[in-house]
Amino acid sequence: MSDVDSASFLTVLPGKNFSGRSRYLKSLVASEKRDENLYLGELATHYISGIFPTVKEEINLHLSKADKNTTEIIKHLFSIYGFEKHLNKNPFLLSGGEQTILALLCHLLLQPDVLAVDTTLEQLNEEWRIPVWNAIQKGDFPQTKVFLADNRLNEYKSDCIKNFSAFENNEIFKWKFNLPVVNDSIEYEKVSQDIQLNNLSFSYQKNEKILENICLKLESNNIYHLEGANGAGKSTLAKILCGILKINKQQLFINGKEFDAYKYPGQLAGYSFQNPDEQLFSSGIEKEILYPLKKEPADYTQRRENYIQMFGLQDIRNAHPSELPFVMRKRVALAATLAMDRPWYILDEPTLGQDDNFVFFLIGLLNNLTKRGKGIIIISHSCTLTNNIKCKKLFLQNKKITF
Amino acid sequence: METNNLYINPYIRVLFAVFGIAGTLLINRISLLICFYLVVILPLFICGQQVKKHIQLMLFGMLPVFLSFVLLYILVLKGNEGGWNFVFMRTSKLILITSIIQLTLLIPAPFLIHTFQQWRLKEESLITVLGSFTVWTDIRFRAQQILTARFSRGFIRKRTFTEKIKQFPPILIPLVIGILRTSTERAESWESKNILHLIEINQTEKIKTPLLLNVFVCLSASIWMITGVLVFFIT
Amino acid sequence: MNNKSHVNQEKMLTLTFIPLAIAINVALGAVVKALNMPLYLDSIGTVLATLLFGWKKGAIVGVLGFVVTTAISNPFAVYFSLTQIIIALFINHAGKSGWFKNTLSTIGTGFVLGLLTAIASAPVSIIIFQGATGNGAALITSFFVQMGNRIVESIFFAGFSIEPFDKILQCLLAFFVLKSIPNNLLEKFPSQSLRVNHFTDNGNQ
Repeated sequence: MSDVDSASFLTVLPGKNFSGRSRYLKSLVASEKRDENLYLGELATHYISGIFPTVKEEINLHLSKADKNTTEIIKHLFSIYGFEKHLNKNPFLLSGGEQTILALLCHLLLQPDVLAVDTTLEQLNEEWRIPVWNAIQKGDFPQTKVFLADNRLNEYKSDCIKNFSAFENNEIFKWKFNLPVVNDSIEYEKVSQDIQLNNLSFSYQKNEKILENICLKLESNNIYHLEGANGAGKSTLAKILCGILKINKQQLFINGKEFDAYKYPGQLAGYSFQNPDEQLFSSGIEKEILYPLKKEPADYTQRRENYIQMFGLQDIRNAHPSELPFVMRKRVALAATLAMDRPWYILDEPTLGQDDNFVFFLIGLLNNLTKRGKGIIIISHSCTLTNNIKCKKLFLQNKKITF
Repeated sequence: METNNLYINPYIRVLFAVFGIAGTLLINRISLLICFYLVVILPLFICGQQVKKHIQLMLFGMLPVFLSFVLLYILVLKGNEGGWNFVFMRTSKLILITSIIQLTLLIPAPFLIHTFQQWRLKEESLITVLGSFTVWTDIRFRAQQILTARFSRGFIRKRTFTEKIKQFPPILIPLVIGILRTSTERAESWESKNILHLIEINQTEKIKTPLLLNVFVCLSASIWMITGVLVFFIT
Repeated sequence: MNNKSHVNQEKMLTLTFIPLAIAINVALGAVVKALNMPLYLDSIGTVLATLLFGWKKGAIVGVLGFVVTTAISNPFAVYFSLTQIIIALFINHAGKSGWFKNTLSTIGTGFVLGLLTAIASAPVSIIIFQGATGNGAALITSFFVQMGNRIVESIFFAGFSIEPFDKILQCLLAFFVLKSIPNNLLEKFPSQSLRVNHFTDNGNQ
């Protein structure tokens, strides 16, 4: 590829979904000689060896081939990310961001000629991207050329970005993604369901509280951006609102009335999390989005059709959700959650692996939903999403929520 | 490292299992069996910080067995084929042997590789055995996530027993699909990393053996075995 | 590309799949044990591994799965390891003969498998537990003894009344799971059993 600068250590490939980027990255690493070209895919979990009981041994395994200098640099990077306290943990118990760092640094330790990173780094927030980013860019790993596909490029403060658009009009892929403008034509009653949390505390084990005395009012027809460190309790809060975890009485109120979410699981809030593979159940897209009923009310059928059109799934409506590529699986899972028509939605990294086109489409959709009285809580590291959407910020810190 | 003091030499582990089980099979005195449990087995579980797990397994595993012995041999057979003595003897032997097997298999995570390597597992067999001891954590987490997704999508309305049983197939399907995907992607990654070669050249750190613990394990198992042989020939 | 790398890829696929199949066995076995049902459901991983990679890998999954289960949830599992090898051997034969083609034949396969495993696990129940296995089977054994049967007979009867039901369920679960997996994922696994039973479309094209 002539338009890729062969001299730089880091080549970033921005671009649209289905532009042929993944294919290009895979072609870079496809070679007869093993362990010289490596590839990292969307989900870091698959690229951790997966058999080693501790983080320390996972790192040790990759150490055996690295030279002294590289070893030192990587060890320093691990200490920046605070891995000392994780050394005896099971790698699967790390958070998504930590697994990403572990996989990336371990692959750098093997000193490949080419390391192709396919949107793996999107799980990291900006703060976490910078150290490893700088190290690669400075040429700390002189043997290795890193090719990085990333959709959150505009968030990077970097000079060596080289635009790559060779596959813009590629026809190899079956599905071309165009965003149709579909106006949600059904008139909905505007119902507001405000959530009030009153001294909410939660603990999995006694004496170890995850959330403590949270008092909070969440007004529907608003978008909230929930921030917090790994393990701060974001998903615990989400699970409480979805009615998966049981809380004490007099802690959750809807419009001033007490609501027993645990008794009606999934009725208050729909929750979509990072990995789409854990939320796809059906053998067809239509079934997945809204499961067909024997006697469907008219708006039910129309709602399904609307979401299929809006998410650009009309050409693949009979496909099996699990046979689609990651980007599409993520979209189907998101569409399925939103189509349920719940008063609240909690979306954990809804734009993972998605290009800007989709992010802006989602912003429009979410704004529309709030106009109808829905409440939305977003958990995301994507600045493109959170900076362009009108949202109130919530910080989950030290078991408390602050504004 | 602070966990070092839990390390039991892999050979001593095997010796403990073999001698322990053999001794238990030979000895037919309940008082001796209980003695061995209290003096050796329980302290070892306490020392390995596995008491909670052990008690859980006792309650969910051993107690039903004891109850079914009582049901079968005391209530149904009215003591015709061996009374209380038989029941206690059988249960205590089962408890001892099962606990010994458990102790042998409860290897703290930092020593897993070292222990398996000492047991002469290499390359593919090492990967297989190691994986089987570690990967289930991931799968358990995924199963929980799938259940969460089903709850939040509103597929599970009630928390009744039958409703939970009905969730088996729909949880299993995404779980297996996820596993096939992980397996294929990981296989490609292992292939390009040449993981077999990495494992071959991987040098595990030497672990300092805590002398007192290992001597205790080794001695107690040997004494138990010798007692067993003596009791067997004398009586 | 060349034959050697193809063989290597298949080896890697086997290596990554076995621990995951073991994990299914362990996880499902633990759930069923916690619910205290007169079922086991701890061999679905074995059945899947056998259908995908043949009986040797299936047997490895079964036996290692029971070893791990012993350390985690059910301390007595390890005594029944032999049963898992029987399962792997039988399912391998059933898979290659196309006994998973439709629901009805799958039920038949499960029934025969249940009879075989009942016979295979009875000696363990007799020698080690004397019939008191501490689960639903023990209750049924007591029932048959109460009816006036000898203990050994009762153990066989109890086995015959639980195992076929359990194994039919497991075979059906495996059947439906394999049916609902998209083709492009299954095609990566080179297995005769999958093609014979039409789980992949390869045979037709």
